[in-house]
Amino acid sequence: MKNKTERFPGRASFLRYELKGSTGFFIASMLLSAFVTLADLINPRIISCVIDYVLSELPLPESGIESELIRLFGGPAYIRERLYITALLVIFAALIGAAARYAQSITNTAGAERLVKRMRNTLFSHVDRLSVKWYGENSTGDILQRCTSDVETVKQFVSSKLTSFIRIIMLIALSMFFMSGIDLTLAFIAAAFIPVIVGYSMYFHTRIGNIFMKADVQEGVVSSIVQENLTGIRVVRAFGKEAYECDRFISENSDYTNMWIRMMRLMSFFWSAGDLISGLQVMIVVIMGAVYCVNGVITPGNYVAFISYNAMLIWPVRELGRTIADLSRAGVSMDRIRAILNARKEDLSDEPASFGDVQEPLIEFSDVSYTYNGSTYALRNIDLHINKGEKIGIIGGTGSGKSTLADLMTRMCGGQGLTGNITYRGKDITEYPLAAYRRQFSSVLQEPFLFSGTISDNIGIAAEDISPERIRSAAEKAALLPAIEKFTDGFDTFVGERGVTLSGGQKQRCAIAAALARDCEVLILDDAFSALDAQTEAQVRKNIFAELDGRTAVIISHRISTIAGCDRIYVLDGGRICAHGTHQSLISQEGIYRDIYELQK
Amino acid sequence: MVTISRPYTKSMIIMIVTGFICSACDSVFPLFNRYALDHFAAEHTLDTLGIFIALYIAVLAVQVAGNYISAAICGRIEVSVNRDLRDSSFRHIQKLSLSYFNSNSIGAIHSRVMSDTSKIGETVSWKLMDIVWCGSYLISILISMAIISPELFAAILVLILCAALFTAFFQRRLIKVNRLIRQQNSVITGDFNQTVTGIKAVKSMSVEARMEKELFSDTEKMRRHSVRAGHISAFFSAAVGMVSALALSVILYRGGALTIEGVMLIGTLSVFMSYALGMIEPIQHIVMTLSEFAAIQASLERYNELMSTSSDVSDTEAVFEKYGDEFEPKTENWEAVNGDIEFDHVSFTYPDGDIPVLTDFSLKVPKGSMVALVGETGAGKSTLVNLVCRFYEPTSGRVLIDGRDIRERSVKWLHSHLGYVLQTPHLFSGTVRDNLRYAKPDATDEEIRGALAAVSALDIAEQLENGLDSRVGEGGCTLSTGQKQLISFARAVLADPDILILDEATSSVDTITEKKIQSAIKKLTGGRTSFVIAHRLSTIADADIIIAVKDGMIAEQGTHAELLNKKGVYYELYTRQHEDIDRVVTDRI
Repeated sequence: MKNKTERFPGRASFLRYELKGSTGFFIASMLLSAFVTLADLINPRIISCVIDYVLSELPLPESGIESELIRLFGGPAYIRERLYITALLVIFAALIGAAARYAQSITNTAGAERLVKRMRNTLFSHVDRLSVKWYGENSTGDILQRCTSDVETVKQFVSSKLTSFIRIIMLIALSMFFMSGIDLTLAFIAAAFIPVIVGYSMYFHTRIGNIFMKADVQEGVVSSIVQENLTGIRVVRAFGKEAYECDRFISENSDYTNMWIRMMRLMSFFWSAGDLISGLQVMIVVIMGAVYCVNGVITPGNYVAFISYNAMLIWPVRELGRTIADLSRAGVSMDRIRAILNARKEDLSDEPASFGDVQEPLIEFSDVSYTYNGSTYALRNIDLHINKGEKIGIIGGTGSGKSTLADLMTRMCGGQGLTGNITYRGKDITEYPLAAYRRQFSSVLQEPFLFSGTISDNIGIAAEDISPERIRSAAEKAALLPAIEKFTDGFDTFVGERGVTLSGGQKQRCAIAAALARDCEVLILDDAFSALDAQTEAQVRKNIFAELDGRTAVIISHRISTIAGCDRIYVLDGGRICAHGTHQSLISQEGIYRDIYELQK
Repeated sequence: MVTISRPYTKSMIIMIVTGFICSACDSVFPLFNRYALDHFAAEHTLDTLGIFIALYIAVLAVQVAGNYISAAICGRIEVSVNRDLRDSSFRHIQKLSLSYFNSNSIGAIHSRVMSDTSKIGETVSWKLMDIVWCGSYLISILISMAIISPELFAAILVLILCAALFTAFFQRRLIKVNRLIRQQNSVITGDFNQTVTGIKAVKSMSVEARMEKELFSDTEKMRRHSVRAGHISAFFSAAVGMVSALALSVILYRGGALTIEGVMLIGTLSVFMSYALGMIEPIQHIVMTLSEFAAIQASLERYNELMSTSSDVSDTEAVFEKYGDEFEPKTENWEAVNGDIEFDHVSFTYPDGDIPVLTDFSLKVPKGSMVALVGETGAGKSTLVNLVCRFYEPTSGRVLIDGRDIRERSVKWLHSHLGYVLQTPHLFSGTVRDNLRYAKPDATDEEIRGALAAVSALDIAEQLENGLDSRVGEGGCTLSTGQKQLISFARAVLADPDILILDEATSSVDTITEKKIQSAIKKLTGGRTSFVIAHRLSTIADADIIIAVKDGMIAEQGTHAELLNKKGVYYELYTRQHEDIDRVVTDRI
């Protein structure tokens, strides 16, 4: 799959790009975390000195930093009289530690949030510009998961896992340094367990990670059954399939549950086995330390300090194994995100385009064939031309390629699978910058889509800084005004997932209003009146035609009445143009058009 | 929450008891160090080392075993509760009336079934376990401290209370910010969702840059909220670290003095120090978990709200006795349907509306007749159909099938005799064959092909890459609207219903195909009663009864000829549409 044109050929290049702007924070956070670790490791030293030299009155060694410091504070006997000095010392160390911890934590958050913001932004900018064809090849649920939970995984990994990884390494190094300062053999015994615990925990987390993914997939199955049942509830009811759906749900849900029960058992086993291993390590350190202490190899204070250091090590070491195991999971997430970012996006840069002066024909298809999948052709040998200001009708059976024709025109599809030439104002359509080219068109889609927002947001969606008057007049022309006025909030009524539900006809009229509110050269109506009754349709159509004012319109429909007034009508059958002409000429000759006309008359 | 976890009471008790034992063991370990210091080191002897090791291993073994048991049980309770809640809410959804789905967004219901349940499951298991673990650990170290040195114990207790108050204070603020973060997160997910599902609309409107700008501002908002939360929790963890240092300094100061006086041994001092360091985490945990309990309350309420919603339409006890319900239908008691339908003085107002849609409406539909409903977009043509399907029940009056009130027999009985084809077709992800078999699980390929052929969709199905085995994608997204309508039509045909309802079933299908379907359906419906909602009047001219609806009211009814003579609403609709083509051609509109 790898090739030179990929935006991010590897994980490193991906991370490098996404970390721009947050690297500094992460480096600062790591340096600070070294400081925090150091501050944490001071306490056991203080305690050890207090126990040995102040409380137990062991002789102070001649040299060494600790001895120097104790003398600086007035010597053991002086401190013995004034124990508050030690208490203040602990508080002082804690204050420094707390300040460092605070600074570390906020720099890390700042870095993490910058990173995740950048990741989301780059992803969205990319997803936003991927072709319709790409969407056809990828499932929506999967794309969304990559944009949300995979992003979260990568963020978690960089901000918490990677920094804690560095901190743990530092902690191990520093505490081993202090521990071996107390006693080398004892330190060696404690250290011997580290690879065992890390290795064990790595093994466990890799294994559990795989099961985790399977359970995730199964949860997706359960979730999509719920989703399907909610969107298709009427179908479920109409076919009386309640019991069937329940059985299906219960069986998938119980598979999912059993997966988790197995996983929980496994996890509990691994956890407690991990507890056992680390418990044994602590035990051996405690016993060996006690023996050394009795034999006078180490002082009681050092014994206490050693055990504290060891206790501090245990959790981070266990975490280390997990972090390493998560590495592969984060890697998978990164790859999944990269796969999106490496897909070729459409070039929608805002370069100005100059459109030629050629107006006859405005749009021309010469011998155009198109296939989506490389085997069956959606369109074959299409020849058509559209002049400026013309109204062009397209009619044809279900699946005859009407929408594909419109999609080719607006460059929603094309590229591979396309043969023949499509020109706009005399130049091949691919020669124009895509964004500017698409802005020449305003389309109403077969299945209207509402953006979440108010009705007026939806009508003005494609037009920047549109005036309320213009929105109102667009709604009026689309015969939507009466419906809007019935809502208590009028134009400010929220629609979409979190708002009121519009009927199919209302949605269609809303999409028509949005298309009318926008300046364009060519208006495309793809079966845009299917949910409207004849009367409303006639009214809307009249308004649209009046609005055209020299602009071009392409109208796809099943209804003769919708397109009968067009300057030229193309009749599609099985991906080919089987007839074209005006309404009059088409009904005067035998063929599909006349059949349809007879039926609808 | 109590009722939810009732089936698991026994497991929960075991979990709590073992959890308690574990924590008690945990708090014992520092005592070993104490013994080592005060006995072995202080007296320079290793006399009891054997017993020491044996005891240590024993405590460790009990702790490890306890951990295993409590964690395994806890996990099992979590997923089982989760499963129970999801199962019962899913079942409940299947019983709710359609009006519920009209007034609640799919996303909201979905999250009740999927995420609220899992939060509740987590609460009754892990959250509870956390409290047990941390609580018993705290209690046992407190007891142990009180026994060893009441004076130090009192000082530590004050600090513990400080830490708890501290945590509670920060936690409340954190929860607030976190709520903002969650909301913002769902806004961002919504942004992605909108663009991904509506990509074609985005592109045809050329609003890529605008959508992008919106997302950029949303992610920036998210960053600001998260950084604020980060500040709070950073300050919090630093402050809690300070509390633990304070505890340590108190012990060094007072405990040190006691050691010098000879009242306390060094080992005991070290025990206190380990306790001081070890107690902070459990305190944090308990307080956090308790405040999370408050947050989980919202999930519980949402779930209960769903479960306590009762269907507007439900069968009476007597009906249930005889006919069974959706899940255990007593098909042996089901009568066949003849097909006479009668509206008997029916009045109806939608639950969320205040204007009556039907007032004292009476109509007899003899077996085998075709009733057409016509009228402007949004005029309320679906109301009669909704009543026949018993998606809603009349406010007063009765709907009768074969002379008996529709309520005398079960909803399931009714639906099993109905075929309903919707304007917005819904296909299930799966193959074309799967979708057809939805109507008749044991349908042979012959029957499936027959049904497809009846609606002229056989060519379409066979032209798909894998024929009947082609996958239609989520919601049938790989097919055009017309194709989806045909397949869902074929599905209804395969179900072979006694009463057929076509709600603009072919609005996106071309006229020639529609005509073919009509003649096929006419043969098919033969003696069946059917209701047809249509825009194209040519398709319903030969209906037995035409009902014209205007502004949500029934304006007139009669046959095509009668209504034309009446020169009313229908006449207007009809002439308009009929003249339309000619007018369009001459006026070029």
